Amino acid sequence: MKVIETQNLTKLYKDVIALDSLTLSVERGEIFGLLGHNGAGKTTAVSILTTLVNPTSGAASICGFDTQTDRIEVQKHIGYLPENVKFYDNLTAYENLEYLAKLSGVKNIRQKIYETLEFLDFIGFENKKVGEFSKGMRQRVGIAQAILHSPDVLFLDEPTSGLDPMGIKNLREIILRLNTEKQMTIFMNTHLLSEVAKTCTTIGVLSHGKMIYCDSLENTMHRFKDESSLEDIYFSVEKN
Amino acid sequence: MKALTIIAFSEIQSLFREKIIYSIASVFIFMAILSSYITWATYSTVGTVYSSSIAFMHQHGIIEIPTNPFHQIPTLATFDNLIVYITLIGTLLAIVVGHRSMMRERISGILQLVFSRPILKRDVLLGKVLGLAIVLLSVVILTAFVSIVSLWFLPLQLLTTTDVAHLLFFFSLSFLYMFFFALIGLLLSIATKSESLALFIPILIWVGITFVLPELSTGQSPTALLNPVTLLQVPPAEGLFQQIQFVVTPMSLGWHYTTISGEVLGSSLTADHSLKQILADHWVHIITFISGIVFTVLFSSKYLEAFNPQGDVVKE
Repeated sequence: MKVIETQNLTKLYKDVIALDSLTLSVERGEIFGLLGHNGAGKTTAVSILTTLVNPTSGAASICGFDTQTDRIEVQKHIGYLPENVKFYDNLTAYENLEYLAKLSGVKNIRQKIYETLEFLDFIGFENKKVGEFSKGMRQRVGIAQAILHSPDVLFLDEPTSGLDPMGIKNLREIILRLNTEKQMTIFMNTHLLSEVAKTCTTIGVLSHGKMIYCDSLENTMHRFKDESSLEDIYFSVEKN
Repeated sequence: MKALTIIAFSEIQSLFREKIIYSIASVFIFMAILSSYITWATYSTVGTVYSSSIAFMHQHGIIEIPTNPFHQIPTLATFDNLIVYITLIGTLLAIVVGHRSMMRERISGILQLVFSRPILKRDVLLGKVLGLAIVLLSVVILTAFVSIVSLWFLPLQLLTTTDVAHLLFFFSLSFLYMFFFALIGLLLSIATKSESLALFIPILIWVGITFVLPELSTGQSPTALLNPVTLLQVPPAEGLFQQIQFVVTPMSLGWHYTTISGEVLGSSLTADHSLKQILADHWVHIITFISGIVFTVLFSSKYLEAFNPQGDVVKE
């Protein structure tokens, strides 16, 4: 079953084409990695799919709901972790999560927050102010806010940005557990190719707003068996 | 709990955490207390001089004793100074409150998370408007409480039912006036990308409404217009000035606020002080206040709908 579908999704910022006729579909349970250089249109694609931005033309749907006409329904089914997630620094992690959980309509908020923090191995930090947190700790609170309401689809925008190697490893484990234990479909933007190779089931490559490649990781590895790494494959796709 | 009430509650909590808002509100309330003290000091001095004069007149066999001049002044006129404080400090407090309401969220960067929740942007805006209204109302109620309590220390007659109705009307009007400026602060903090510009433009509007428009409407000195008194000179009623007056007078909210408040508190010497008469004379101006508020909310809504939290960077 397709949970994310786009048809000729296009976004123009004045005369600049940020996204050019993007057509893709993501099946339930997949971990989709959207690759591309800086300015390729990855964040624009996620912004449209998370309903933060309207496309100039084309259509997108999440779990069968149109991102423009059924915005609220779409938002009920998604979780979103923006690049460089930010919170109220003067509030504790718990207070931030409580506020966002209320806005998401979560019931039994306290129980849900503690369950989520336990899942993320973050118990003990809930009463500390977010302003005192490291980048990695913020990222965990960011993931917590994104999964509090048990969404079907989780959007991660450059989730490894600014993390140290240990932070990246921990995040990778969390992503895989969310996919296997909570059956979440995950759509992530990244340019860390090594992470894509370790976590994603399907990859897409965006270049100058256009999707120039999209296939399962397995097929990709098979098709480009002469290339030694995903990095080589990526450059080969970009070049062609 | 609905999104609107969640946002409003969060807004109130956040605003009450802001030190700058506490500072301005404290100054405002301090001025209200100071105003009462000044009134008390004036009454005491005049009262003492009056008593001494009466004693002196009795000693010299003067039978015709003049009445205490303060007994001719309406009790509510003791609140006169508040009109100036609201015009000068209350409105600035309101602008800062409105400005911080949205700027705080934009600077923190949390709007990306808020707008990805299943809530309408309209609810976010209305929640903020409700929160602002409650915060400003709290300041107005506290000021009213402090002012009314301080009346006990003055040698005045107790407030009658009519006085209470007038006071209620005065504080409601003051709230509406301050609320309008808070919404201007909110609107500009949504519409501009620069933090300083978002504060500078509302202050320019404030200067226009408080000083420029009243001067153009009446031809009086702008500082004189801060006081709730009758016009000191007849405005010229000819040529260009008349045309300017025709255009700017309806928008001259500062002038309308001062005039109506002066009449409500009974300090305007030419006015009929009954509320009914005041409403009959000024209903157009009161509707202008309310229209200003409605239009500002509508404009804010328009800008918020087009607002893209993705990559929103606020310049200093």
